[in-house]
Amino acid sequence: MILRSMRSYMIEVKANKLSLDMSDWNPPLLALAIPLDIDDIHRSIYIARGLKIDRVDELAIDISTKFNPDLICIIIPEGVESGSFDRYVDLSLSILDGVGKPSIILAADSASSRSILEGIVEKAGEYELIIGPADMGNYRTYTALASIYTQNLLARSTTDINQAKQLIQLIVDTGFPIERITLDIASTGLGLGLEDTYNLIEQAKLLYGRGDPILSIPIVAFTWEAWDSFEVYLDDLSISRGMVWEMITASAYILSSVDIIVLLDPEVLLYARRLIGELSRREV
Amino acid sequence: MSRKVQPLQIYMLLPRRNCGRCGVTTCLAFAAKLTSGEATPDLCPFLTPQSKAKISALIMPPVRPIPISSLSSTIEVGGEEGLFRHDGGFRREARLAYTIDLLSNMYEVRSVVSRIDSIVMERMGLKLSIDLYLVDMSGVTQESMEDRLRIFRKYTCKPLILKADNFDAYLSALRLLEGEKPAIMIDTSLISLEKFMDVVSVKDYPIVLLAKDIDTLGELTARIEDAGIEKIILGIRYHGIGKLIRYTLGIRKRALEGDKRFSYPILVDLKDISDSYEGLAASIASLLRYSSIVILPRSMSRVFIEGLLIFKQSIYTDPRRPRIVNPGIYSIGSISRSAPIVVTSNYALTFDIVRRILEASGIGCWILVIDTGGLSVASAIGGGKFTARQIAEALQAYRDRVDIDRVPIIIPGLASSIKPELETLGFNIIVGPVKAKDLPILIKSLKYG
Ligand code: SF4
Repeated sequence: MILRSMRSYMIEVKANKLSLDMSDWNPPLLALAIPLDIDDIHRSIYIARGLKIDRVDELAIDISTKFNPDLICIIIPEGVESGSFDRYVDLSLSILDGVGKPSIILAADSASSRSILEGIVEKAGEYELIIGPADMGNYRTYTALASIYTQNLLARSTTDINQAKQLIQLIVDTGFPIERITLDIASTGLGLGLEDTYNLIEQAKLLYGRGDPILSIPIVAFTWEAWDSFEVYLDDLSISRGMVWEMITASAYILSSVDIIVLLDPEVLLYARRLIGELSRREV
Repeated sequence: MSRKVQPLQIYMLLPRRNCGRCGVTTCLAFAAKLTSGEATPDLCPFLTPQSKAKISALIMPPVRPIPISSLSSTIEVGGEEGLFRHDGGFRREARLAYTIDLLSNMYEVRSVVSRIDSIVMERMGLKLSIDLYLVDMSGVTQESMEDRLRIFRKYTCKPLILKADNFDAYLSALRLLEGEKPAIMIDTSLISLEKFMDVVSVKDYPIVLLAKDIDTLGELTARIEDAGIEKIILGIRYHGIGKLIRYTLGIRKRALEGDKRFSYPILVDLKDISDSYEGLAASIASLLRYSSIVILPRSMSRVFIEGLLIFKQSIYTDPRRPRIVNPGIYSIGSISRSAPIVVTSNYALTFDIVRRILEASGIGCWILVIDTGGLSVASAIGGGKFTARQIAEALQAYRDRVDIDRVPIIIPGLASSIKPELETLGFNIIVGPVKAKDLPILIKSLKYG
């Protein structure tokens, strides 16, 4: 799968087979999330990392310059009033253009959020993006959108490998090429069922290695739910605890042979990059 | 790759009386339990010693279980039989250890023990903490060693791993710790292995062999096996994460291929990693790649250890068995008939998260747990196991305890599509947040009672 930004910055995403010793392995691409609406948790993280949060488009460029992710992932909020649609579309386009990196764009589970995604995709003709998430309930809408504008798709399934395969098959049955599909199998964070997602990725990558064509697609894992665990907020150490929990989540995903990891805290990106470097080092 | 013994093979060795004394009704059912590692041959009182030995050999997992004990507790490491977590290959929980340098000032030793023992995380009804201590006696004189060890033993009763730079230190420590079975970690570059092989009294203790690579480890294991030592733990020194996982994978694969020299649990010694982040990454890699004991870096602080405790518990839950709580209604805090009801699935993790968030918020409410067969809400909805009908039926069963026609009934955000159907049945339905942590804000904003 090829992802492309406006400046023809191109990146290839390859699907891994399971590699237990990380010897035959394409290190995962690391993306940073850019939420269009910044909530209290985001604010605390960005301030702790020395980033300015006055304007989201400037923040995105700042994050991208300082931390150099492979991709960015724009998150469209859930409840947006119709009068603000254009503002969110323009904001997203200005982020895509300003950052100049291949991107994932995710809508929330609401009609307004999906309309904004549609508005962005309509005007982002020269980008090759990943859009989603398409699930069992809405995959026709997303597949149609990605087909019309020749974009890539993120399918999101629940915690079951067969449901994941069924969803991919349904999308493929609409005529959408499998080469343009990526899969998120119910990513979650430490403390919220990370072990289940780890299992599913391990299983999917093993099955791909054994020749299952449906699972030949890149798998994307999101780590930000690590910040949703109740224990993170037990005391005033929440920023360091959230960071450590996201690091643990990211480590497990890296070791599962996943293909793209979307992170929230830029500091975790530095950590993940270091771990990938360590795992890729070959002794002479 | 994992053990392939069939229940029928075991059944043929059982007395076939079907008497039920072993806790299951038939010998065949007992054979199935033995095969899956859920029972031990000792439970059948009619087995001859010969049959018992044959069965034990047949059901022995590729990685032998090794016990380490203090006077008050025993932990068993090993007993693993696979490569992949998703097929249940991670059987027995790995153990985390922290190092105590006995050469330090004893006030400092006490403060380290009390800091480490105070790190306790509560999850799924369990209290998680560091499992054992590595007591490093290196550099301590023979005279002060016994005093120091005696004082240290008053601070904690957790099982121990002993490490020393001379043979006599081990003997004194073992004398002092009479009744315990600590593991003995031997650095063969400092002490000759032959000394341990000659002293019969040492042979009953688990021996941790530390080596720089797999081949050396294999040689050492073969030597001490020949001397009749059977409780062995394979120790790996840290030389980078990449090397670490290649070694541990190599060991596990050889164990699964039946190479007896590697059929022992793995200990990974990370204590000297000075960078916390590298220490965290190496610990996660060790836990996911077959280590049964991880000696944590000394540099690791509370927040890192807390996360590792949760991670360890998570990956060692058996993925083949649904973690469930009994469906029904549970009260939280001080409740009345008019308290709101929060509806969730009977996946134990979901229930535990919802319960703890609500308890911490001080809100009085009910949690209605629906039987989803142990699936999370998202999976249950996808699989048709979290329906309006199920919820309505479950609610009716509690009419005498809760005013179900009036109280707010909060369904998970992911289940918003079943709201209209529940409303037509006359319930006061509120769609809750997708994330459980946002529940208290929603409930506090409701007007009820
Ligand atoms: S106790 Fe022994 S003989 Fe009796 S049912 Fe169990 S296995 Fe069979």
